[in-house]
Amino acid sequence: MPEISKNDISQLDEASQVELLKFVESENAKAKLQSSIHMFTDMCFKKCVPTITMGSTNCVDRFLDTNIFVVNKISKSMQK
Amino acid sequence: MAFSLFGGSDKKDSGAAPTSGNSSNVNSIKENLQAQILQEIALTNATELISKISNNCYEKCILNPGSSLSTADATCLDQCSEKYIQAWNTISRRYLARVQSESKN
Repeated sequence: MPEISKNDISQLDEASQVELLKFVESENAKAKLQSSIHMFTDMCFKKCVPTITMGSTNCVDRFLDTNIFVVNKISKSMQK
Repeated sequence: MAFSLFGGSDKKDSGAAPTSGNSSNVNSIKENLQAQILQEIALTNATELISKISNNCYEKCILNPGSSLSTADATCLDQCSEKYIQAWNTISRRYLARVQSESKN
């Protein structure tokens, strides 16, 4: 994706600037909703699943394995 | 996996017709900016989802962290992340419906 310079932005006419402002506002509102959805899902998932304590020297390594596993899974589903 | 999270935004024109002379150049700058913003949002969302799934599924699946990730661990992580995404989609629909119905009142 090409980088956008300050010069590019100054070339925008007023109508485009207004349109972009509206676009950012609307995307911002959507992002806020999605942020709430992340929070609710996290909360509800914890609520529906019994909590489990952990503790071991392999803790961090297995956590990172988990993270890598999820990254791979998500990137696979993004490619679909 | 039905999933409207990653940059799957519907392009809607606001109906404002371009009027200026170099309108095609202005339009491409505008569209680039919008595309970059959407890309940024999609990335933030993916990062957030990955972090939440990691935390939740680690707690649920990795009871005794061993020297490597066992097959049982991997199966659990697979099912757990699947379930988490399902929950995300359900809660997303539910919450958006609620927001819409509340805003009518």
